[in-house]
Amino acid sequence: MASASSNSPTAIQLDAVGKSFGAIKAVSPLTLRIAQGERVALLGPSGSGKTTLLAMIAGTTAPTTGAIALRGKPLAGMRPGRDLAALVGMVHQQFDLVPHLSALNNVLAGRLGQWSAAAAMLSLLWPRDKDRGIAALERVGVAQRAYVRAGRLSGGEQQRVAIARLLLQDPAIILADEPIASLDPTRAEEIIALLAATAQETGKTLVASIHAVSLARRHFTRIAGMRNGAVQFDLPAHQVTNDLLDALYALPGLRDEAQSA
Amino acid sequence: MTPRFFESRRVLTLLLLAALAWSLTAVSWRGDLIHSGGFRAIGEIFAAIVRPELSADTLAIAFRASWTTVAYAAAGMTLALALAFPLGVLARSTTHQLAASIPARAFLAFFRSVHELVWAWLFVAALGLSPVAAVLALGIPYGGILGRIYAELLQDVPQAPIRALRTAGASEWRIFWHARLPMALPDMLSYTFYRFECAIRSSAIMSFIGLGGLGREIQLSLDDIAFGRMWTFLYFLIALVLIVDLWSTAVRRRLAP
Repeated sequence: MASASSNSPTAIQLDAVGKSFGAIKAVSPLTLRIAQGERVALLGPSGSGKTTLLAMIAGTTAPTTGAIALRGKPLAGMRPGRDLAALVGMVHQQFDLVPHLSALNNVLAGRLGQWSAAAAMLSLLWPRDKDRGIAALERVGVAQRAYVRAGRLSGGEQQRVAIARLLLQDPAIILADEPIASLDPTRAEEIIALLAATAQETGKTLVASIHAVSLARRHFTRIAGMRNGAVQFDLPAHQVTNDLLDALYALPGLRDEAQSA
Repeated sequence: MTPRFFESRRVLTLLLLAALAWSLTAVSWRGDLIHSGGFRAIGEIFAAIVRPELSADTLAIAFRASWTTVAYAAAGMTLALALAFPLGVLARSTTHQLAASIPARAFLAFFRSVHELVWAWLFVAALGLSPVAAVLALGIPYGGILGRIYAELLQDVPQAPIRALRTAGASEWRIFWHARLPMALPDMLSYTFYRFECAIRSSAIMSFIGLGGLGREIQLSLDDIAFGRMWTFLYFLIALVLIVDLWSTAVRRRLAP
């Protein structure tokens, strides 16, 4: 667990955090510290608990056991709103833009927490903080599409707009739940590189669940492997070996055979 | 297992059959069911389909009557929108505003549970045969229907973008303007246009009770047994509905995501 940034302040602290849905254990109690500025890739087969873990850190799912603190502030009892939005933001596989609004208005929605309801309404006609929105779109490389309706953008463009929205929300911690699962390999690498570069340049913490091992190695500082709701390994990216990855993704039957052989 | 004879569905079926049998005895089956000239009149009416009267006088009357009918429909729809939008927005059932939602729903239910013709009787009785009576009679029930549909459409939008904005720190009213309304708007507009078509038909019906328009011209033609003229007015009515339909298609195409 030794990491290059272990002497930086803590961004995310999980203490014995677990989640069960009825009798099903999604995440076994786990303790984890992520320092500010770290870029952590969560690897692991589907159903290993990555999404649940991210949702708990985002504050959208409450853990069954344990406690989470973001930059020293306990997450329990924090309601969705301005304070939580300043701490943590999330991009999803499905981008979650409003398809009928322009890319620019979708990006500016990242500022909704800061605006009054009247300002929010007027912004649809006369975009408010427009310069910041355009700058964010420029940063993610789709400024020329600012006035196109989000529903008419390609998948890669939509994900860029979602990242630009996150830039305006400006949280200290960026979470990404399979952000590239619906993109082709070229687009996927561009998006991961963009997320990693954004986090690096702004000193933000990035935690992303992905399936592409090579991208995890290239763009992240730390890799955590999850299987059946438990962390199997948690190492600096360059120390993750192919054997560890094979064991992580092995089918249960094959793995048992390999162990007994 | 013995079949349960008194199963509620079976009892209901029997009751309905009994009601049907009784209703048949209530009809007089002698020759006066359809009056002797009835079949001939129907034949003449349909023969006139291909012979609408197209004299300059009739066309002038038809254009003027169409204008009246559209004007009542448009004014009625304006009132309906003014009622439906705020009430529909309040009536959508989200947990954070139950206190506003229940009275809004009650108003909408009251407005739409009375038919426009009944509202027309009430307002004609109160205000006399004035255009205001027609506009109120159209606008109130249509407001109730539109508001109810708006509430449902605003509620049934995709939830993922809304969740995304909530985690970005936006509260309900900001989410309303930036996600709920834009996503529901195309369907709301499409339904509004459909109701505008209905308003044109209703407006024509209103004119039977003495408020001018295509309906009254149709009635006058029937009184004169001038079936050709009646068809002219009916064709104008159909044309109005088609125009609204085309307009609606054009607007919807522009709003598609």
